[in-house]
Amino acid sequence: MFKAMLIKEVILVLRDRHALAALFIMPSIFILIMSLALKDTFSNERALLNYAVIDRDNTEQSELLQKYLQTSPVLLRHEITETASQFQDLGVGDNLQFILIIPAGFAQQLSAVKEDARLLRLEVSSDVKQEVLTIFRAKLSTDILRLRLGRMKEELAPFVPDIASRLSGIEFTGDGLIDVHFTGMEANQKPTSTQQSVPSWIVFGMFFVIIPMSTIFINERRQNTLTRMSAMNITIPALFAGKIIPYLIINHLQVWLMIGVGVFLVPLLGGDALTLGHSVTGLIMVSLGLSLAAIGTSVLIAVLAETVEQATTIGGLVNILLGAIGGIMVPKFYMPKAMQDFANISPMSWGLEGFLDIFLRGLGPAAVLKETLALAACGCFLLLLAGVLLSHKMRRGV
Amino acid sequence: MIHAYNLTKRFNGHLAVDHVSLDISRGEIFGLLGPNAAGKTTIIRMLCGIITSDDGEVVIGDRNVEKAKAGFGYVAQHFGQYEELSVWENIRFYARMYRVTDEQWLLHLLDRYQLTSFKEQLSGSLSGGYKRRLALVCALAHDPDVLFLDEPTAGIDPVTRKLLWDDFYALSAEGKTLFVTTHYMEEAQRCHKLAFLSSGRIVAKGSPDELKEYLGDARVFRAIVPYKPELREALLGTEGLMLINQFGNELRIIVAAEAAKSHLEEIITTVTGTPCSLQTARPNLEDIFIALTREKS
Repeated sequence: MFKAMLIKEVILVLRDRHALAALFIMPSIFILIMSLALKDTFSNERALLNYAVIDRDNTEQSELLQKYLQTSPVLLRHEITETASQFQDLGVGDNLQFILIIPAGFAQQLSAVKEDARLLRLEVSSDVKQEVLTIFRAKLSTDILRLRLGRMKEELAPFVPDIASRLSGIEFTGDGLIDVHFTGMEANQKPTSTQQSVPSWIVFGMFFVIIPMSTIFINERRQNTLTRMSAMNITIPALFAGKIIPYLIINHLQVWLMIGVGVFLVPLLGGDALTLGHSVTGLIMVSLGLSLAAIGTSVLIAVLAETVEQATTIGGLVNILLGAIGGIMVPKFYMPKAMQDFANISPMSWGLEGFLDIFLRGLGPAAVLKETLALAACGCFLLLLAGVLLSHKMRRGV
Repeated sequence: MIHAYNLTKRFNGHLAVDHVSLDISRGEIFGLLGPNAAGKTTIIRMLCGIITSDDGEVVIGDRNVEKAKAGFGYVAQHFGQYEELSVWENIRFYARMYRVTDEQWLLHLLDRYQLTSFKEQLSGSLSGGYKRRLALVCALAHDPDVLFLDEPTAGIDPVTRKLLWDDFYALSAEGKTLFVTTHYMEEAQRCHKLAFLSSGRIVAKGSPDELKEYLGDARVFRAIVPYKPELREALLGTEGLMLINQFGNELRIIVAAEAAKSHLEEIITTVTGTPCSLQTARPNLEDIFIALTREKS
């Protein structure tokens, strides 16, 4: 009996081409697009700050300052004319954030250390965020200190002959001084857009079982096959089990297909390859939990909706809302603290955190146990609720 | 074979089925006749254990309905098939649900109901008549003793209807008990026994001949008179009038014993301008059904 229900469900899903597209093709395309689109966001080679310089000092020191600025990979210099010292003077479409004006007398003032000295003038575009301004100011401050240190070395050289060699270790070359290590990754590894995108769109794609599941379930009610099964000895748990198992398998196929897209297809198109974590067990645990939550949501919507149109509309909306809240569309680290806390109400967020623990942070089963149990409990609760509602509906003959 | 005692069902306070009791013997074709929304589907669903009754009990064979489920087949009003599965996949699905694996038997059913050439066709693309046949095959896959058929010939052509009824007789002759709901009078006429349902209540039951006795002393008259709305108005005031029913050019009137035939003839002659002579007729099921449902309600 149970085998018959499994076979039937599998055939029905395989015949639903739109559902297959929603389950397998759509999330794969999302992974490709988002991995490639966000590639630069996770790359430290990318220029994030656009600036221009107007040098009115034209000294060796002012040129040295410009040279220091150009050594940073996150800064991109634009050339402008001397007259365009205000943003309003610039043409529309310029994406400049900063115009650094090095005033005449800069080199002289550099040596004369005064508390209220203003060495440079910075024109800042009004849409620049505070943290971006802070980064640029920090870079300028560092470079000025570097210039001052150089000047100091020159001035002290007649008095302290080995000053140059004694201070040779004090340099402001930046990256070399600090060894950056991303948690859960090898020494030479860093997070990539693929590592972020694959977990997000796996979670989102898994919840798309709402569409085929609710379509089939509502068709069963419409075509009276559910009524026929009620005239046999089919209990609601058996009916649900006949649906849960095929969709658990489908969800796992989705997970491995999307991992395959991340590992093999994204690098072929110029993106970074997905690197798997260290725990297949952890991955399966999170997938199982997520699958139960997705199936629970789907069954509940299928029971509540009266028509396929209702189910697909409600299902799509629920999916998008859970995704938007849960950090699928916009990564949680971009959100303000309050929104990050709010994101925790979405089961998609729990699943995403679980997958990020595996893929990004290189953690194992112990780390994802909490998320797995929460997702499984959520799924079971939704299935229980759906069972109660369906039983009530069937008793009423609806 | 099927015994229902005092079945009662309310939906949102509305009494849909009102203390219905039925006794159906083995091998009998039992028809439940009633207009739309009379409660036929609710009763058949209670008999099949699809919905529970608020009161009363159903016994099939010597077991309650939940335990008897493996022993009966049910054909739902709207076929109850997976339209996205082929004919053969539907049959195999229902057979497997009853743990039937004998493919020869299933192929025999396919052949019996002339579905062999449609074996691989999606059931959703079948015509109404073949969908009915497929529904019947699915219900017979486990060779049940009892078949519940909810309006089994609704929306199909007279030829297919006759074929299906021939088959129902064959199934009955094989010892199977058939419970059929319908609102077709000519279909009801084919049943061994019948119950008339009106507003959730059984208003009469018995064989078609027994039901004709329900009119008691009432008399049925007929005359060839074209339809005239003013004639109907004129007759309505007649003492003892139970029913006026027009069939094309035939007017049928059922009146209580004391009603005067001559008085009716006089009214008809006056209204139509043509001398009328009423003939006494045998009551048909429709006369009885309409008369009874009006009287009881």
